[in-house]
Amino acid sequence: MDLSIRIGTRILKNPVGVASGTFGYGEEYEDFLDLNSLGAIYTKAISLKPREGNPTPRIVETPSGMLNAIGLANVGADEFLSRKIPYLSGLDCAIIPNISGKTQEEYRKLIEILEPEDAIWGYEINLSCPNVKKGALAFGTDPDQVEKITALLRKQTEKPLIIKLSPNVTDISTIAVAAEAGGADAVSLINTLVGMVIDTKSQKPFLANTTGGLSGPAVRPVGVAMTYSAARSVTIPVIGMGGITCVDDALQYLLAGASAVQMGTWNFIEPSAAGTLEEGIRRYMNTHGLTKITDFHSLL
Amino acid sequence: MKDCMVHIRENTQLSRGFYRLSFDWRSDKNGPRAGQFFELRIPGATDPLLRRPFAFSAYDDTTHRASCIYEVRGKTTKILRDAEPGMSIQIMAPLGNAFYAPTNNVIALGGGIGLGPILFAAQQFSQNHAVTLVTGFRSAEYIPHTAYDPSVPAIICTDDGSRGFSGNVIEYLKTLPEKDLENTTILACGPHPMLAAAAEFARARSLLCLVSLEEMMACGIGACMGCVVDRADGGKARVCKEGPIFSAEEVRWT
Repeated sequence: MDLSIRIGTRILKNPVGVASGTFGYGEEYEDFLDLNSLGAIYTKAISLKPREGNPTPRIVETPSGMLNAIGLANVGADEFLSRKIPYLSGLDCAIIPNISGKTQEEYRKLIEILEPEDAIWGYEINLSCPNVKKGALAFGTDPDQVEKITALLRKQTEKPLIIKLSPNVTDISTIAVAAEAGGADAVSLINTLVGMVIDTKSQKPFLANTTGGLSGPAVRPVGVAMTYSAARSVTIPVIGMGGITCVDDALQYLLAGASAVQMGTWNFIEPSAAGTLEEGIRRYMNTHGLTKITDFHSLL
Repeated sequence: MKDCMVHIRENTQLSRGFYRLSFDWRSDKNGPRAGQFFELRIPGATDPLLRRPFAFSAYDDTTHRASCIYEVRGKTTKILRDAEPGMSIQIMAPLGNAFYAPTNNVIALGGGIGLGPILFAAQQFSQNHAVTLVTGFRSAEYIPHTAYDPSVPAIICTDDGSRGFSGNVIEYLKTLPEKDLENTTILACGPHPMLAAAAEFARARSLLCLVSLEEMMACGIGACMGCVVDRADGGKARVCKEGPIFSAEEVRWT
């Protein structure tokens, strides 16, 4: 049985990852699970300069979910390399920084800065965050922009290039196709859905940012449907995420056509849960006579 | 720090609005200290989704009995209110930093639901410090009498004067002779305006004031960056990681 996945020029040792924004820079979770057992850690989105993020409140619970409007608070590229990479480089899993910029040039510059770092396995390009004023969401909803920026970044690296897609679009398969046309090695989806909570006592939006991104178990069916759609539109691997809380959720994504998965919001609730997925996937494959991850894709 | 399943041992209404939850919990090293908190999950639930933070109000190193004082605010606390002893809850603890006091004298200031960690602090610091415990409530029916340790003298303040000092805890502090405030650390927990007033009171007298801050929280372990507060020197600090205890000077009060 082989749980590995090829993405571009490299191999993920298993299909289990943890989603950007939900796992900090890895070290925060070392007490809860063996990080080396993960296939990949997608770090908090990195921007060129450090960002403080949005004013609070910037998180709020919703039915079986939550909104976040963190606003890409991160230490910036330089501090990521000097203060976070040392710990991450000691781990036996793919270290995949999520990259976020306001302009195409910022994305390009970020890859340029990070590229010499050997500990970085590949990149997940954030073209889908709904919580920043300009940039990401604007790029992520226009197929032409997605293809252009992917092609620009493709020239910067031979490492795996994963484009993270927004669900806040009419048809995610057109965006996935555009990413593949631009040279992406894989697409990951879904990022968060735009949502809003209104405080009826104060008669104001609860979040200081007014809207936020919805994640958690409530969005799982949306993620699965979009994975199903995207996987049928592209030949490159699809990495599925959205509301994964357990092995069964991850299996839905694999059956929908994903070659790998990411657990996200559930890390906040059960910080050790990501460490249980590989074993569960392995057991299912054993029971059903599957020998490799792509065997999932012909079952539906 | 660890996450484990425990059983509720006690769940009592203490007064109008306040309840005490107790469970047995064995910590890895020495027990939690006053100011620290835990993140509670209702097992098996996706709604409520997020864990909820509660400050420890007591911890017995011998019996390993932990407590918190809570009020009913939303989904999780409504479930807690109706929970029977024996029910399982999931506890991630200890989280955050603790109160400290570099001076011999300590004033432990608790407003409303801020009472829990302040009672813990008063009990903890009374072993080696001279502690004045000052607690404030809206009115007498809110006072959780049985939560108080009889060996730690307490000042009760009520906004409507129905019991003890008539006024809030800051107004009480202002009645104390200035010389009684020398060589004193103020520990404060309660509504944000109370903390801001305590900060100003301490600043005017050059006293160290430590406040317990609160902010909407998801992960509780410093990963999600949700629970941040503004620092006086610019930048943001995580209540769950750099806090919840901050020196009043390092907080930007608006």
